Amino acid sequence: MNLLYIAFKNLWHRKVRTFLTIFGVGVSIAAFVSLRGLAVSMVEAFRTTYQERGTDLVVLEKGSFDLLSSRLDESFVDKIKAVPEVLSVNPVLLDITITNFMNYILIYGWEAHSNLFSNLKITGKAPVNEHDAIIGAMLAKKLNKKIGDSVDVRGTAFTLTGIFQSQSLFEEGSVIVLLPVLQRIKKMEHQVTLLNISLRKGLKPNKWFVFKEEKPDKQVQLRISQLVPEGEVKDLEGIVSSENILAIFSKFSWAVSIVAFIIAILGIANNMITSVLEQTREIGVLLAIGWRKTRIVSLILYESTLLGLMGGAMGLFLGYVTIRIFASMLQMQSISNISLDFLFVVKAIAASLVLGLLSGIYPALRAVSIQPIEVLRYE
Amino acid sequence: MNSGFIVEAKNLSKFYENGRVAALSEINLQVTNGEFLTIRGSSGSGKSTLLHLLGGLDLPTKGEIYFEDKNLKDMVRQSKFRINNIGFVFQTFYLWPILNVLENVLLPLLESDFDKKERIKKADLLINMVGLEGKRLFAVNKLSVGERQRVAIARALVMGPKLLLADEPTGSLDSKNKENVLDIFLRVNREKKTTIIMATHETGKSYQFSRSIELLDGRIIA
Repeated sequence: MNLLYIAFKNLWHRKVRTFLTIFGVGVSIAAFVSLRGLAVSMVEAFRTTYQERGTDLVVLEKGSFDLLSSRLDESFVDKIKAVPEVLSVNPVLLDITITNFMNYILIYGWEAHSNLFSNLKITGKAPVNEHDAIIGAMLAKKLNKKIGDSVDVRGTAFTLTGIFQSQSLFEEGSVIVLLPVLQRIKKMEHQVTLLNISLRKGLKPNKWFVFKEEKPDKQVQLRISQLVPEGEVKDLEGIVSSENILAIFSKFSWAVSIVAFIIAILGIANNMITSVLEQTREIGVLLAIGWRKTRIVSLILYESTLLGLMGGAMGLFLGYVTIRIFASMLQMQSISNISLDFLFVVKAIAASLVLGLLSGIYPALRAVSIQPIEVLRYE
Repeated sequence: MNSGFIVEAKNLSKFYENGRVAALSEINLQVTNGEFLTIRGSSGSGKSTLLHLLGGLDLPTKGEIYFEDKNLKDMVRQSKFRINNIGFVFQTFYLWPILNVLENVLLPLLESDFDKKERIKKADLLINMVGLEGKRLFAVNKLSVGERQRVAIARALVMGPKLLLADEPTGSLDSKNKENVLDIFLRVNREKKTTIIMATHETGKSYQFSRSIELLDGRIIA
């Protein structure tokens, strides 16, 4: 028999209260897991989209709220290509549309023979003709589409010439058509959403003589900025952190998570204080027979930490289920295959451990303030 | 020089409610090693208060207590003093209902440095001594009151205390169980040479041990 065993027995002794507390903590951790998980996955999906394209810099319209509201003139492509450090410039027009089945689908407009196609694993062939389109494997599966089928984009029918796989979740849930066609459909001739820029890079040794890819030179970034006065040139981190919708969602997820944590702490603390009050006699007698106060504190903290950890385990499960439900409810292909990575699971477990410990502090102090003589005097 | 007293009280007084209520007044008491002392007296005479003071659970308002010639006030500050030296038995047992017989007896041993095997061996020895070997894994609330008191005695003795303080240990028991408990105390006193101080309000023949004092209104009257 040890303290952990006694803590377990104590929790088992008050089963209903223990279960309700674990469930309460579980819901709080689930809120953290689902909202933060969703936010992190969206950011990662966004980052991967650019990484996979080999993008070093992105030019967006200055002051645009998000990607979809950005507008740039296509003529900047040639100006930027003239910069010696620039390897390639790929204009992209982005659109979002809704299908008959209430599915939101991303539509990319890329130039024929764009370098961006080289990062996709295409079964079939890339779009060449006006009404050609390729579809992400995930979306194809969802919409039950195959090569040769037709897909409707804002009232225009496209024939699927290929199905592609991409590391980017956003691309996997999208349809790619030729840029001039999408420009025409959206009535945005010679306009694009953004410009993907890849720079010529060498490998440069760091101080440990490990060769790493060079980061984009700030000077090049500045020179491109001067060429596109109405544009804003961002590196990969810059574009990820400045995406307003992602940032708002991230802040919102933190706010909800913090409130949920506070509720969980109060829930465990309430359970533990009630338990301490109910066991005043037992704690008093343990102190009378010579148990040290640190042992009583450990016992209470064991109990509260167990509640936190069990709640955490339940929360991870509930959170994962919630993410799946969220993803299917939002009909967002790009986030529907989110998985909780190991680090995130560790973080959630650590959060529930800290939560359990924090909520046990006050009840533990209450327990050791019990005077054995007060308990025995009223025998 | 060693006085030979395991516990000695000098001019011990205890007041409550800002000195308005005197629970004990000017108590002088010496208890020698291996003695079985009975403190008799009616309810409210100060027996429990005296035991609590002698066990270091409470501090006297006036006077000093010495345990093996050392001031008890200093001794109780040492973290393991009580667990290693003093055992307590209470009238209402104070067992932990969520634990079984063995686990209740093991509780004080969690403060010891013995390994798991040794702890269980020690607990089993005491459980056998109080005659509960067949019920070691019983939930304590499934036991009779007499058996519960025997579990409490085993718990008090498991660390091998030099001094056993028993506060009305037979107060809740029928006559057969009373005799059982007193038999155990006598055996512990004789065989293990454990000093026992037992408070009781009973005056029957079976309560005549090596020495007996009587309290009335917080003073020793006999």
